[in-house]
Amino acid sequence: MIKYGKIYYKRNDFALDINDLSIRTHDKVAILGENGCGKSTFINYSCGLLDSELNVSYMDRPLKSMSMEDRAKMFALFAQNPDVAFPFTVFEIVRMGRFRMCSGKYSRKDDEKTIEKLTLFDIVKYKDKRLNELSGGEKRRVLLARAFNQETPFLFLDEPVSMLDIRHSLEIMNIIEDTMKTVVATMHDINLAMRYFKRLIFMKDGQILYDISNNEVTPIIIEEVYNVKVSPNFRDYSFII
Amino acid sequence: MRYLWLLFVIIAIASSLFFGSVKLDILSGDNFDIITNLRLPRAVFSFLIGAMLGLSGSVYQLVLRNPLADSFTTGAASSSALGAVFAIAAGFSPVYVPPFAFLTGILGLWLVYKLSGGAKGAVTMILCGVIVNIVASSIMGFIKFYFDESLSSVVFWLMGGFSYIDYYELAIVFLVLTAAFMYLNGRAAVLDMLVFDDSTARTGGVNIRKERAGAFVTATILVSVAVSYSGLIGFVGLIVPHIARSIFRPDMKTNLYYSMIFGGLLLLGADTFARSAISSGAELPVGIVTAVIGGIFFFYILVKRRAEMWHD
Repeated sequence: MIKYGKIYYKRNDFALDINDLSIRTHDKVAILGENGCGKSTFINYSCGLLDSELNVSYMDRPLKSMSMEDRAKMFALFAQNPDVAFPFTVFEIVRMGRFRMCSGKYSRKDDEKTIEKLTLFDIVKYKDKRLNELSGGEKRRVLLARAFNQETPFLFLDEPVSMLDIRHSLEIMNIIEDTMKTVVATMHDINLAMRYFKRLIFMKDGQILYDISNNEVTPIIIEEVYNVKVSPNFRDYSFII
Repeated sequence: MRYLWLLFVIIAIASSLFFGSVKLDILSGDNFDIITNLRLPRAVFSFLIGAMLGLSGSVYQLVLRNPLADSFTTGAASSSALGAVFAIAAGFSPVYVPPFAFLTGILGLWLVYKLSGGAKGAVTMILCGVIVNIVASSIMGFIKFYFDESLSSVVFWLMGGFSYIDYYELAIVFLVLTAAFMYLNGRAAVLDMLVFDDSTARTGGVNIRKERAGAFVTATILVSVAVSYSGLIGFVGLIVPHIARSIFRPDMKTNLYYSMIFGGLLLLGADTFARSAISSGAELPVGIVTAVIGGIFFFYILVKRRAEMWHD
């Protein structure tokens, strides 16, 4: 379980301001809201990446008392703009997710687990390619596989399916649905979020506006969060794999 | 493979002994003194200095995640030179030159790193490095002007090169290089994790601040010692890691080793050429030679193997 105390983090004219929030183990939580509403800041806060007071605990262990290694064992992050500076291969990058388990001395077991993840994310055919040879969506799948390969009970995904085509988006969502991990993901696609996440948190201006289950979402709520007119349009396509 | 390259280094050093401003029959006993006390230490020394610069370049490029980073573009070399020039001009004993160079070198690097907002802005960082270079050069100009009397030794040193080396200096340089390599090689797997963006690296279990600081200090020790003993020699730290990365794997265990080997070979070759090119006995400044050899090879690599080198 992730338990948040009072969060107040101010930066220029933006402030993340959340009171008491908890996320149960095995929950799948989607964070939604317009650009700049604090979704990523919330994720970064949860991962201890901000220079701020860390009022959050994982399974009753306060984050601020945890070492870097302990944190890496507790949660993994798929950052919004993940980036790799050198031409490493796909296999090596995904394997580096297992750094915290072996301090970089990768064994045959690490290799096997890595191949497992590559297969899961449908990138095993790019195994020996360098990351710069892949398209934007393929790169994202590689770095998602890296985060999964960290094998942590908690997983934070900052826009996991942005830039992915429909088929791969659905595949990723299925992986998220099937995993035993606790997943907190920021999402832009409301339909996808409602279908795959049981709990939806809508944010606005750094605050939580609604914290509801997926069947409680109404057009009025979406109109309020995004400042748009919502009409359930029957001519829309829906996609299933 | 690694040992094979080490063997090649020994062969290269040995064959460089055949070259010099005067033609020698190196197998004849009469020339034994010239070989052991002049050519051999100098060949080994130029290899070691090149190895230091190559190694430091590999570290700077990784830690700053910047293909243009090396001891020059980060401002570390010129600010090290500033400390060294001050120590020489003020008449300190030569023993104190490297510590002075290290102090100003790390200060210059820290300034560049802070001003450019860490490893985020690649272009900003180079810009800051250039500014530090200019400021350091002007202060050096002022020191030369102010300490008029010791001018000759400063000018002599600033030109760079390895004209006279004793075995004591050789031992110091060797020890510094070995210690730095052992430290970096031991941390290669952790350093690899620094190729990720900060958020990914930190949540992946790496204390990036500590790791960066360790790598920066080590690389700057290498630069300041190299600068203290041989003046300003550019280009080695910039091109050599790219060459190593384009031929071998990009991981740090590999890149550190081959950046060191290639850096050494490049400077050994350049110095051998510099001291034997002009038959009258005069020497070319080695920095000019490294820039020309290095530059041509860099262009070749850039055109031929762009994809392996760096991805953007």
